[in-house]
Amino acid sequence: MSQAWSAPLAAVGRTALSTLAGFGRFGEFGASVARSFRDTSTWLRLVALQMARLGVESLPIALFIAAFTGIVLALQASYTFTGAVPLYFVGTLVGKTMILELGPVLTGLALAGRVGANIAAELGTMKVTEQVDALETLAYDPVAYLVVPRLIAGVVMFPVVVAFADAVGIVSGWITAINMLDMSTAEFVRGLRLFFLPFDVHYSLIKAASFGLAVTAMGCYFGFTTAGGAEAVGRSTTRAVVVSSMLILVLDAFWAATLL
Amino acid sequence: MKRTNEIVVGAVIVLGIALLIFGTLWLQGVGFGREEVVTQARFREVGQLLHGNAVKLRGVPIGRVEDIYLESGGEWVIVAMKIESDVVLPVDPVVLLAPESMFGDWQAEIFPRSRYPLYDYSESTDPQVIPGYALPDISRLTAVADQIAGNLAVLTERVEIAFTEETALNVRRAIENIQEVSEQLTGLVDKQQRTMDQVAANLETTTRTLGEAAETVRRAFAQVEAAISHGELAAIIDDVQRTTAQLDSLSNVMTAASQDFRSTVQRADSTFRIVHSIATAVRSGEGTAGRLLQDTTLYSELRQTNALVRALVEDFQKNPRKYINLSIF
Amino acid sequence: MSIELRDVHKAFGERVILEGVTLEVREGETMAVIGYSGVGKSVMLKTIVGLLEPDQGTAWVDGQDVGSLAREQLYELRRKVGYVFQFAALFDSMTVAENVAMGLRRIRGMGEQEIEARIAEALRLVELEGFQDRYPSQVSGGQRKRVGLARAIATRPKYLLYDEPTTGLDPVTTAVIDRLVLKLEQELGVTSIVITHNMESAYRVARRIAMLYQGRIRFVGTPDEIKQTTDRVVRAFIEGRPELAQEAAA
Ligand SMILES: Nc1ncnc2c1ncn2[C@@H]1O[C@H](COP(=O)(O)OP(=O)(O)OP(=O)(O)O)[C@@H](O)[C@H]1O
Ligand SMILES: [Mg+2]
Repeated sequence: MSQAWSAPLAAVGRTALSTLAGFGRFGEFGASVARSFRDTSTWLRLVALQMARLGVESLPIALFIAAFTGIVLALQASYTFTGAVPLYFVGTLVGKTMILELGPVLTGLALAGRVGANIAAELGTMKVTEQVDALETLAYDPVAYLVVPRLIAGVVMFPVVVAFADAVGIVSGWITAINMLDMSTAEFVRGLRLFFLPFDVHYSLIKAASFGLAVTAMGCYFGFTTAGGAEAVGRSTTRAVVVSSMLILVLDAFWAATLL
Repeated sequence: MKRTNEIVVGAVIVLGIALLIFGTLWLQGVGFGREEVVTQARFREVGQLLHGNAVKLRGVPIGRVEDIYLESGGEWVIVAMKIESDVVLPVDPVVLLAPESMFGDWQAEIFPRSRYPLYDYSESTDPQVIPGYALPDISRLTAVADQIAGNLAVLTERVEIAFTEETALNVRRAIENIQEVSEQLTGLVDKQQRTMDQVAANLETTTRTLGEAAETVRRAFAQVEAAISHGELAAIIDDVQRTTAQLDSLSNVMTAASQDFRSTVQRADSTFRIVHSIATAVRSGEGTAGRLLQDTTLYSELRQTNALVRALVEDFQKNPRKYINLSIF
Repeated sequence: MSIELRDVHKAFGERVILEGVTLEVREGETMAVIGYSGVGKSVMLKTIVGLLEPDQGTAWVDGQDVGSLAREQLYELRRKVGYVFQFAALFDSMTVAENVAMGLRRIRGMGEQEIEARIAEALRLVELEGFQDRYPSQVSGGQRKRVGLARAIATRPKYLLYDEPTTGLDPVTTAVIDRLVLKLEQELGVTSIVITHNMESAYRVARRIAMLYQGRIRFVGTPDEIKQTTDRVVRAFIEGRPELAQEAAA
């Protein structure tokens, strides 16, 4: 067997196997989460704290992003719609884009950075400083204690944050439209309502919930599988953010393909 | 500390849910606190009408489409509309479905049937269900416009065949004159008709008037003759002169024929006016399509015009002489 | 009821750490475990509470095979075991009092008042009265260690596993902790394992001393026995004379 061609093959094999192993570990992690769900007495009283930390404390950044997105959408829409398309379509574009896409996705990406990194760093540090082991010795199921409340908080609070983001984005688009564009409130609202369907809101919330699950799950998974020291915590944090951002985009496409 | 967390999170969630519910309802255009009743209408098909589209009366939004479903049997569609309960619907109402604007959203508008009596409404045995009709959407309007353009082309072709290239200039002038004549004749006929009741009493006056009219006609054709030196037209003029000579006897025939004649002239006249205005509108370019399409009456006008033009073309094909000779006698 | 390791093997990847450790700690006895740094003492201790699973062999606690327990039973067992981590492993998002309370909250039917009383008692035993509201980042390394100890003993467990409870403490505090270990053994009948590098401490608290060497238990005996041993490896370790160990290896 010549080294020249066996080395690349071995590399491919190794990569494939380690990828599979990664999926396996994640599956195991998922199974342990499912098991720990029954341990309500452990996680129930911790959910409120995580909801406050992951959800309520994320509102400022989410709303900041949404406000500027709304402004940009309104301005760019009016720039695009010169001439043939009536100006009230600015309202339609701001509303639709905000609710269907940018509200959930930009919020999701921002929170992947804020929440995902936070979780991965916190759990990673707890892991390498044996705090997770300490929980075990104190008869706490660390998954029920640390992971489940975060997942629940993510799934519940992301849609809430996105609801606010959608609303703020639309309102800032509206304010931009009446102040910086030659539009009236009536025109903007007409455009806004033109193609609005209640399903849009459901879609936005479904996306948000799935992003919440993706971000918190990745944060917890990479945090929990941290082994080593400060550097490993850094690596886990980076991975959590990168993978959850990618997952958000993949889920975004997935929902668009399946729900629209 | 835990307590405050719970309170803050609870408040944010409740606020979020309230925002969602009221936001959704507001965006759907639901009027809060207003009484609404559900009214049904029946259609053959509903085009692109969707749940939530506006329901209007005289252009004013009074509700929205609540539900769309097939009647049992699948032959008809029932549209349930939520309408403000204090709105009084017209007597014998009908519902027309049409695009609200050029961009695809539809509306259901309620009219008295007398406004658009011609459409093929889907009547229901239940008097509570309003008959409805869905206007064709933009693509079908385009098709009709195409058809009209085709008919106009045919008409133009015929006219070109009737008046050959060589005589075009002269004939154009002749037509101008003929138009003048026909206007005068129209006036004459009008007068004639008004005086018809007094025909017996004022026969002499009438005859004199006709004589004057004949004189005018003669003068007009003298102008035509002066303008034209071509042989063919000379023949036509001969014909005209011969006819003019018979003008005395015409006065008798005239009374009987006037009704028929007048309507033909008017019909042709109004047709050309409509065709002309459409042509102008189409030619005037940007934004016109949108304006045209917003007017749901356009379709019926186009259809009526089309029918007239088609009738005119057929009639022209059958007896082209009528159009040339009739005007000139 | 006791703690027992039977032929425990443990390797991390290629690196073999434990190669058949067999050790019995009798009920009510305090066993000191000594051994070179990195020999696997902490690993051994972790297999006892199921934090690490042995590749081979079994760990028995309270008459139960730790590896064969279902999760619920394992957690049930852990309620009876206190574990003092080598590096304290305090929850740094919680105050000292909350750290100590963690184990107590797992005890059904314990009211807030009793929990507070227990926290105060545990902190008093490790000489940290009034530290309740500090955060781990606000106390010294030695103090952290003692908070970890307080956390482990607060639930009054039947078994206590100390991973170097006195390393890094001043001689007086070390003596205080040693006395605490003895007191727990004598007054509450606690069965415990104390990992230590401090031979003074080992002689003071342990009824027997075991030495872990090259993946196995090299020696088990009372303090008097270990002082008299002729095993050069053990002597080298307890007397701190590396040249003896080299002779032994040769
Ligand atoms: N989770 C782990 N993954 C990989 N290797 C580990 C792990 N835990 C311990 N080791 C390795 O096992 C060996 C024994 O570690 P252990 O912590 O038990 O040593 P120790 O006897 O407690 O040393 P010290 O007295 O310095 O605390 C070390 O070489 C360490 O690198
Ligand atoms: Mg150690």
